[in-house]
Amino acid sequence: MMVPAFLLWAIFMLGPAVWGIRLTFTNEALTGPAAKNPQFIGLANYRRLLGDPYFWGSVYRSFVFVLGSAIVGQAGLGLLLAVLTSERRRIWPRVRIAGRLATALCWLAWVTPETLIGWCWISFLDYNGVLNQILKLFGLRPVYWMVRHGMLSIILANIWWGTGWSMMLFKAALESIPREVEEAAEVDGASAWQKFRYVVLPLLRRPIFVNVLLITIWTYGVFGLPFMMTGGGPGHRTELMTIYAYKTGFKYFEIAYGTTVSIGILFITLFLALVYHRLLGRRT
Amino acid sequence: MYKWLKVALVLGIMVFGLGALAQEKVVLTFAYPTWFTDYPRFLNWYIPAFERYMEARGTPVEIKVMELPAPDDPYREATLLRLAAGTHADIFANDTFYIPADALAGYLLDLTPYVEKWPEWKFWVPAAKDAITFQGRVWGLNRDTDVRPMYYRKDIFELAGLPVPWQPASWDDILEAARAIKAKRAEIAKALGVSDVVPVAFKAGILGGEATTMQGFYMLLLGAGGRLYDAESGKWVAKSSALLDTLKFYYKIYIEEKLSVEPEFWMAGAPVDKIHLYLSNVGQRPNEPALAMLVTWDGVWYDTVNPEHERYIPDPPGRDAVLAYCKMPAKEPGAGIRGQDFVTISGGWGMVINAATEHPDIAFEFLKFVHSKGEMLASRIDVPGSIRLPARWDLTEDPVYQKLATPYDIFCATELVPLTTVRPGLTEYPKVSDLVQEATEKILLGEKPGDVLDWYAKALKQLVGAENVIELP
Repeated sequence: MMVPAFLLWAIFMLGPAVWGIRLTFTNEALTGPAAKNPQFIGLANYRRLLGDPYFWGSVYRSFVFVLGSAIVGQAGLGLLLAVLTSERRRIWPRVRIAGRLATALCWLAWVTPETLIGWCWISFLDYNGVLNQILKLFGLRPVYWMVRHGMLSIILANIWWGTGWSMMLFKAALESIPREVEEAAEVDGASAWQKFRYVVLPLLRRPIFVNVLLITIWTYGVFGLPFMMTGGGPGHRTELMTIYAYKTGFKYFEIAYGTTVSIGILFITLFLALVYHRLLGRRT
Repeated sequence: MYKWLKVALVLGIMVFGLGALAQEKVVLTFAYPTWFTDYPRFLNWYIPAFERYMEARGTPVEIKVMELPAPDDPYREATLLRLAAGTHADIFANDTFYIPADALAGYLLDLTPYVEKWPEWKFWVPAAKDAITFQGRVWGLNRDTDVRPMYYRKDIFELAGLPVPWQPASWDDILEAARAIKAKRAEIAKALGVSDVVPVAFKAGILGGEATTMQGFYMLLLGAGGRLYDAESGKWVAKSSALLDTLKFYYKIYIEEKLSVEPEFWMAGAPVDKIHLYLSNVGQRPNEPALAMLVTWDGVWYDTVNPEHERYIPDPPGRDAVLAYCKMPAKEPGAGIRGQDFVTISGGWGMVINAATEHPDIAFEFLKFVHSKGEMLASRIDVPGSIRLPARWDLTEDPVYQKLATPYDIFCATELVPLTTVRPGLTEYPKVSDLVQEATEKILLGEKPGDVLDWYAKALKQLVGAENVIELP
């Protein structure tokens, strides 16, 4: 029974993966002499990767991107929104309708395809875009937002895109906390903040960890949205690891080295996943 | 009973198969840049005409068109991916500066034996032959070459109190004109009904791609007497005063004196398209600026009279009233490459055959058809502004062809062609070109010319190897 599934997996997943790893030991390129007679060059690509300032620059930029957009942005904002809009423990009862609307809108952003989000943000931040038109109404000078503030632009866009996921996950986790625990705290005279800080938050620790692990790994892999908005530029200022891998392979046509960069990304994400895993195991 | 059925079946298949074989057409695929002005001519004339021609010769051929993404960089990416995967078209157009790398990659059919047997090959002028020759072998055919003039806006010059017609003799002349325009930019913008006036632009930045290198950086570098590759020593130039002068000029117009668009202009969207729209803006786009001076490709002159082109200058005032052209000056008279006072550079596209094609002979028939004198002349008549600098001298000398020449064509052929140069026809060139684009982007980001040159020298050594670079005074 498993054979067809395994075959498909082998053909479409295992095969390309093995092929890709083999490629990293060659100097294969899409044009030039190495395209005709690729040579086996051992670990030269990996040595180059370790000493490649552009690669390490992109690792650093990806770290900033993940920290800003995934951990602080999506998880932080998602938690805040989840608490504010939660049906069961409404902190502010009058926001019920607004809360449902906010939930729906966040969710809508999350289910929208990446390219569409990209176009939305480009039309908003472009030199002739909506934001600059508004600035002009107030007599202010237009700004090349995605050039001047490239990293901030892609971080904001990615927060906007991904917060819905964290929010939904945290909302579900909030609903699962037994009401009695909270009622007991109320009887003891705890304020709303104390209730959240000492009762709700500790119980949410595990979902928070799992969520941060997931979105960290996803966000390290994000490519389309930042690539559409800034293309890694200006210079290399928004060149994330994924964008660097793409450019090496398909702009400079060094397919073997581009694959090596991808393997580098794989190891970094794997390492982070292990770190999170250890932390998660210890805390519970 | 079954036996007879079997026999009938086998016979039927054989008859059907033979019939199909007899009627089977040779199918060739063809890829051409969809944004070229003569692309429709391939669809509407060359392909159907060639099919009828081959049908009459008893070899029915069908040419299928493969549409690739536009413009240059996506086209290149699609081309290489298809070539590497073995799924590219049998015949395709390729920018000639990619020929060395693609020939070494084994992607291109060596056309040397074909052209040697073709009596018309002797009509190719040496410069055109050079563009499609690598390591002594011929890898494609080209119909024409191109040059780069400097365009300027007569209406803006007059409003700024500058002389018209104008021919700058040095970079300082360009800067002075730009300063004069900048001093009156608000006034001129108001008179033209545009949002602003940009005095001068030289193509820059990574998004500009090859246009940055060839139509911006190279035109300045040649004017400072420099090259990217030193043919004498056979090495790439890591440092030279010409390279530094070129970077300094960029720094001057974009950062120091702000005589051009904002540096960020080159780092967002499709800047090369946009800068041409500024050049042709006479008020039809009131929310955009107008540009007074730009070095660019010679075909732009014809785009601006083509109502279907977005660069069209509406009539009135019409192109001839507002747009003019001149030669790009060297830094100072005599300071250019080979001691020239003025400089330009040539390139162009060629048509090549995929080495993996199953029908090389028929593919070459198509190349011969498209590159025949009669077809080139017909194309010249049919598509205004096409084939201005033909690869074939028998076409240049044709009286009908000569009658078609406008003063602009004569200017390009007699004033610019004798001055022209080409890019280094080497495998590494496209990658060196990427470094040049990045160097200009660093200038745009405000880095000092000296630092950028240090960076360039280091990056170049890494790219081609320290033993393959030279530092010139």
